Amino acid sequence: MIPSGSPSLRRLSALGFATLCAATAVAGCGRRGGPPPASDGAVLVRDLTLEIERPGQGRLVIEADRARLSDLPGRGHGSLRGVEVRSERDGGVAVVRASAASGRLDRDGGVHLVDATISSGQPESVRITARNAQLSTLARVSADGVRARVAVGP
Amino acid sequence: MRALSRLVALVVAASAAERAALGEEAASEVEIVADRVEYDREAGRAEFQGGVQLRHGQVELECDRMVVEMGAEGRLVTVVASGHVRVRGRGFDASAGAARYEPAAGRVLLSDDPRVTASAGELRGRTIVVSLGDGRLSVERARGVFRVH
Repeated sequence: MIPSGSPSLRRLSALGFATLCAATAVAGCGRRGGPPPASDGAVLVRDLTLEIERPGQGRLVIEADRARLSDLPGRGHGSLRGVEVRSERDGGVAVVRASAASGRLDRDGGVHLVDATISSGQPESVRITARNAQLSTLARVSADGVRARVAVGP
Repeated sequence: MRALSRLVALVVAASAAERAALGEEAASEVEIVADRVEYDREAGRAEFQGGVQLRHGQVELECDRMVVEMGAEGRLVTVVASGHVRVRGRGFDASAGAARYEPAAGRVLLSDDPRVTASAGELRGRTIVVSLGDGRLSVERARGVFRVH
């Protein structure tokens, strides 16, 4: 159930997104006792799960072991550690997966990854390692410092 | 004409081993290194830019910009390269302003001042198609310079 008071829901809805926010994340119900406030007002979160949905175009699911989020309530942005990202079609089929040791959640809902590994296809047909990568809900990846492996076939 | 046949024959001879290699590679992967990529999974398209290097079996391709087109299964179908294109395979070395590589078909179409160099000499033309499977060169408006022994 979507927490209707979620700050991310308000923020992303204003940009044309609908956002689901797992109870462990921005809604402020950390599994290990709730998010402790940082000295500058940022919120430290464990086991973050954030889903950003664009109706008809799929959604981006971001999971992080730890996150430091600023501007809450509000746009919600900040740094991520131990990041897993899935770009899913409607129906929950993951079309692009990515992982990285660290990353950043942007104000616009995109996610940047550092030293990222990205893959797509079922079975996997594309694998990309990149120094920096950005993923969007439209299963688009922009990256630099790239090494890619692509399966050949019709 | 004899010299032209000689060049083509040399390419054919050199491609015998490559044909075997390509047979194994046909179902495998292409590796691409580049400064940047824009990958659109839904469109089945990836655009690589900056110091692009592709390797597929014995074939190596370098260029400034490369667009990879993928089929419904997300598998690579066609590579379109542009800007300082250089293609190397066993027995030949080619350069051009643009190239289209079809790995599954084992075919390279070179355009924009293409030239192919083999041990017998150099061949230029308006377009050159290198058939990696049987080693044939198809050249439109061919001009060749060959070594005479």
